[in-house]
Formats: sequence, C-alpha cells, structure tokens
Amino acid sequence: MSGFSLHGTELRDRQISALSNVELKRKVAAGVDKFANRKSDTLTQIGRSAEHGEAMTGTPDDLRLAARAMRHRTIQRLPEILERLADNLLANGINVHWANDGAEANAAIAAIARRIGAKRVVKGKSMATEETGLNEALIGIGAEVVETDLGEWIIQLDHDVPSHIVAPALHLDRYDIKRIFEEHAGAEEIEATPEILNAFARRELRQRFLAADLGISGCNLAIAETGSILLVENEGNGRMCTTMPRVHIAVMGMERIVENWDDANLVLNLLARSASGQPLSSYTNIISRARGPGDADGPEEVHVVILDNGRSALLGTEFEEMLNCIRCGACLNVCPVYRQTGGHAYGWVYSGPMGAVLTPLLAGRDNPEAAEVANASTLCGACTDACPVGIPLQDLLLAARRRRVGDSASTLERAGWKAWASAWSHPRTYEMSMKGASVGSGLLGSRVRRLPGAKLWADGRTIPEPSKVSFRALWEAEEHS
Amino acid sequence: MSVAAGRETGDRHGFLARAAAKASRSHGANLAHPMPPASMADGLVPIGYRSLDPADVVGSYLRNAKGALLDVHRHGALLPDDNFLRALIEAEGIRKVVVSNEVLAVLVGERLATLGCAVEPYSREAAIDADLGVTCPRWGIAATGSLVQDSSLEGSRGASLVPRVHLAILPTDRIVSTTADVLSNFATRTDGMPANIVLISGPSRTGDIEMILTIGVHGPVKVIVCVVDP
Repeated sequence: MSGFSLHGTELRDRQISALSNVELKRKVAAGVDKFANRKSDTLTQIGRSAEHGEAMTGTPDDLRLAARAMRHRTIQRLPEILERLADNLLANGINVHWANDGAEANAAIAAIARRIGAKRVVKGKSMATEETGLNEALIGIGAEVVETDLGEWIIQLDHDVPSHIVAPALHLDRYDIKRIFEEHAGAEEIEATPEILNAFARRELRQRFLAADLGISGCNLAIAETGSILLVENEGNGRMCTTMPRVHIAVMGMERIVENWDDANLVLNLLARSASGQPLSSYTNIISRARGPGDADGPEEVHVVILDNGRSALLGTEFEEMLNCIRCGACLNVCPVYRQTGGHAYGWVYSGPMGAVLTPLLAGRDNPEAAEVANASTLCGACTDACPVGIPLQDLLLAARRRRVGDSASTLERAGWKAWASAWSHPRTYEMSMKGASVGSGLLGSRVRRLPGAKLWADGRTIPEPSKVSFRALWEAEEHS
Repeated sequence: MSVAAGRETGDRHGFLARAAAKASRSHGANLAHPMPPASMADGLVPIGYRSLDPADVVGSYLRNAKGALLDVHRHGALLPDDNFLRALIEAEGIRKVVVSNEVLAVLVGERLATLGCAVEPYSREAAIDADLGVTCPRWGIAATGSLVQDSSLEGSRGASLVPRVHLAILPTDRIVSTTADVLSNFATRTDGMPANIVLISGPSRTGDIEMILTIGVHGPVKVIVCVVDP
C-alpha cells in the first residue's frame, strides 16, 4: 500500500528511544490517565433501558454487546451497504470517488484541487489522510495545506506526526508548544498558558478558514440510508472546514459506515464517552448536501472519497472485527505499553493496541517492519475490556503474532518451538526439561548472552536462577512425608 | 428538494466486487470472546440515561446543558426580557449581532437593536466580525443538553459557528428526551436531509494542550441558551 513507511527503524529501537525519555513518559502517562478516568465516569451514565425515553435499567456492557453485534452485522454486509450509501450520496448531489489505495485517493483529491484552482487548503483531523500522505501530495501540486485541529496544527508546525488518535500532541507540554509557536508560527514572546496559546491559534487559523478554497475532513461515520457524513469534534475547526471553503472533500475509510440512524445513534452514544469522557462532543456535524438555494452558507460542492487501502483484505479473515473499530482511542489510554512509550514508537499513523493490530494488517503480509508492531503489547487484555464495541483486541494481537511467525520465522525457529511445545505437553518430558534447565543455567550463567541471537533477548532481562530442588520434587516430598 | 445528481469517479464495480469476494471467505469463530447473538443488534436496545428524568424533561435539559458548559437560563415567557438582554450586552461587550431567519431569533434581534446593537440578518460577511449570533434551534435534547441546528433554517449554520458568542432561543416544546428522538426522524423526513445538521453540546473547546479544558477554539467562546415558553 502507498504511504507506508516505518523509516527503516525497528520497534525495539523506537521503544528504547521512547523509554529513555523520562519527560515523554510523564506527559503520556498524565494524558492517558485523564482520558481513562473521564471515560469511566461518563460510561456508567448510560445503559440498557426497558423502553425508549425511560430510565436506565442495565449496564453499559449491554450496549457494548449490542454495538459489537451491530458492527459485525454491518461489516458482514459491507459491499451492499456501501452501494446504498453511494447511491444516496449521488442522489443528494454529493460526488463519490472510489479509491483502491492511498495513491488513488490522493490523485482524486489533487484532481479536484487542480480543477477548482485551489491554492489554500484547510484540513480537519483525518487519520485516513495521514495514512495516504495527502498533505505531501497537495503540497506537491503547489497548494498550501494547513491542519486546523489545534493538536494537529502544533505538530504540523513542528514537522512531527500524531502520537495519539484523539490527542495528536499528547507528547508535548505547554513549553514545547510555546517554542513551536515562536519558532514556526511567528508568535513573539508568547506566554506559556493553555488560554494564551489557544487564543493565538484561534486568531491565526481564523484567517486561514476564511481564505481557504478547499476544506478536507475525515469521516467518523457515513449513514447509508440518507446519504450523510457525520463528523464529531470539539473545537469547531471541523465545522469551519466543512462550512467556509467553496468545496468540501470528506475522506472516509470504507468501514466507517452504518446502515441507518438507529445504528448511528448507538455509535454516537458510545464514541465521545469512550474517547474524551463527554456524553457527546461539542459538535456532531451531519452533512448531506452541498449548499442549496435556501442556505445562507456552506460549500457549493461536496465530495466523498471512499478509501480501501488494505481494509478489504481483512474481510472474511479472523481479523475482520478490526473493521468494527470506531477510532475512540480508549484502548490506547489503558495500554501499559502505550503508557510507557507513547505513540511514536509504533512507527506509523495508528498507535496503541488498535495500532498494533491495524499497522501489520494495512501494511500487507510482505512487510516485516510492520508485522513486528504486533509485539508492542503485553497481551494483558485491558484493551479488550476498554473497547466500546467489544473488539477482542488481545485475540487479534495474538493472531497477528501467529501470522508473523507463520510468514517469516525460520525453519529452525519453528522446529525449536514445536519441540518445546511437545516437551511441555507431557509431565515426564517437562520434568526432564526443568532438570536440564537447572544444569544448563548453572553451566551457562551469564554466558547465555554470548549465544548467537540471544543477546538482544537477554539485554534488559535477568535470567532466573532455577532452584536446585524443583517445586514438583518439594511437593512430592511433602505428599510422602 | 431536488438537486442535480453527483458525479462518480473510480471503479465502483471493481471496488465492491473485490470486497464481496474477500467477505465471502470463511474463518473460524472466536472461541475466547464469542460474538454475541445477532439478535442483540436487531431493533437495538433502547439506551437509558441516568441524566434523564422522564417525568421532568425540561428540568433534565437545564441540568444537562449546564453540565455541558452551556450558559443556560429559564425564562417564563416567549422571549428573554430586556433586562436579561441588557446584562448580556454589558457582560459580553456585544455591539454587532447577526440573526438567523427564524421568528424568535428575529424578534430577539429586534429587541437587541432597540437596546443599541447593530443587528443584521446572517450573512457570512456580516458574521465574521459579529460579537453575537442569534438562532432558534430546531430541537433541544434533554439527556445530553444538546441544541440541534438545522441549516434549512436560514443562517443557523453560520450564526451558531462564526460569531464570538452564540445565543440560542429554545422553546420548551422543542425539547425531546434523547438523541434517538432526533436521529430516528431523519430517515422519514419528507423534505430529505438539509445540507447540514449540527448537534451542539457545549462551547467550542479543546484539551490539546496538556489535556487542560480550554474554551473557545474556533467556534463560539460562549453558548447562551434561553429556554422559553412556547
């Protein structure tokens, strides 16, 4: 797929670099804790109800089960529902572009930009366009591209990349942001308080919204039955990008869709609660047409780019449920690995448990750099518990590791694991192996580090000293005493 | 509303045929975390809200709007009175006002004009340096405290977005219980969907700097809701 690059680095190196940055760990931990606490506060406020408009009678878990079954039903019928969406978008006068990969999406968007002579582009937050590398493509045809989500703007100014799916600048603090505004945005001796920094961004970006020819947004959810695009945000930049410029283009991953508004209602009630701990985000923005004769504002042209970029390969596989993801970021906020390293160590657009599953899958099977990202997990299962649509992330992480080994492990490595599995399946051979370990470790001691291939593994680990008498032997002695 | 159909580029057939072919493959069920029965998703369970008192929908709205950081007031009349408007002008430094083309918004605009504000119907040009935008939302949602703006009410899209402060006049008979009451109506609208509908559930806000709640990023710095008698 296009736009994919881990810059030729290894997961291990990226993690070591992140772990050695104490400041980064402090910022990330503080951020994810706030997210996770707010989520648990608000998610307990909803549950099953006996009847519509009546009081709550159940727990949010009922809604999670319903959401999982609903997302599953939707993804199972994805081609048919996409077809219905496209027909209804077209009937509403919205233009539809099918993009098999990132390059096709970028080309379709660049063609629109050229036709309308777009010089200034404003963007709302869109992870799909991070995937495709759209900004570079637009800059390549001579357009100026400005990210307008505050966090995205900060990192764009700093030539950085997002480190959290909901809070892209989670890894920066106010002093970092002050420096970035002074170095790259012409701020002079600006005070490092959230209010002052925010006011500066509002002033600067307001000018960009008014001057822009083209607004580009992502798409949280498309609703097939009415041909609508739904965007969720707090800042108002998404509304600005989709209201002010003459032309609006929404880029949607092909799985960001529901069949009808009942399904949309369920996602909406879970999404903001899980993402930022709000019952609803400040703005839930629903777009179904270009500006009509009775409208005082809004774009004259609306386009939707429907992007595959590796997603359809998940259909009909054990990874299919990853397409149920609603991109709330709840799994990042509870992940012990994300907490220690932040998002950049994952190497690509998506981070945390969902990123550790999605990165190898979207990159395709011939990409060992991406495949190893599935190892950025402890398999503790906190992500599975946190997911509002019940994606069994720990199972998918395990499956992704299994696939990696199946694809790339050497014959020797596979034979070794097979022998180990077989030995530990039987009491006798298990016992022998433990005795062997006692002897072996006594002989090897710290020399294990010198074994070929073992150094990387042994670094950072203390090899336990096996006891001279095994637990089994002690147990048996106890039984016979 | 009839509009010219949109144009389509790319290979729809190839795109969907590939997806259909992939989807027709089969894979083993997840035994560790089995998929709940499909019936869980048929006629989804209604959502209950602790925040909603079915016996007092207006009271629920007032409480939840406040929780969503809207500046909400209850007026026992069709319009907020002049004292309220005078205090608003004073507190927020209101000079220029744009109003959307809705009866109650226009009436409030007339009052503001007599109190010395420069009032204009909404236009993008007028809104850019306006201090206040006045709208009359189509609905309020009690369980979340949200306002629902519908762009087919002319000017309501921009008047609720561009000016520094947004004033919404919400009659109690437009307050519904839950998000479902609003969303499930969309499919059966006889006039089709308007260009834009927005659920406003707070002032423009961000947590992008150290996760500290900061109000007033690109939309209104303050949203004032006057809940009035119909």
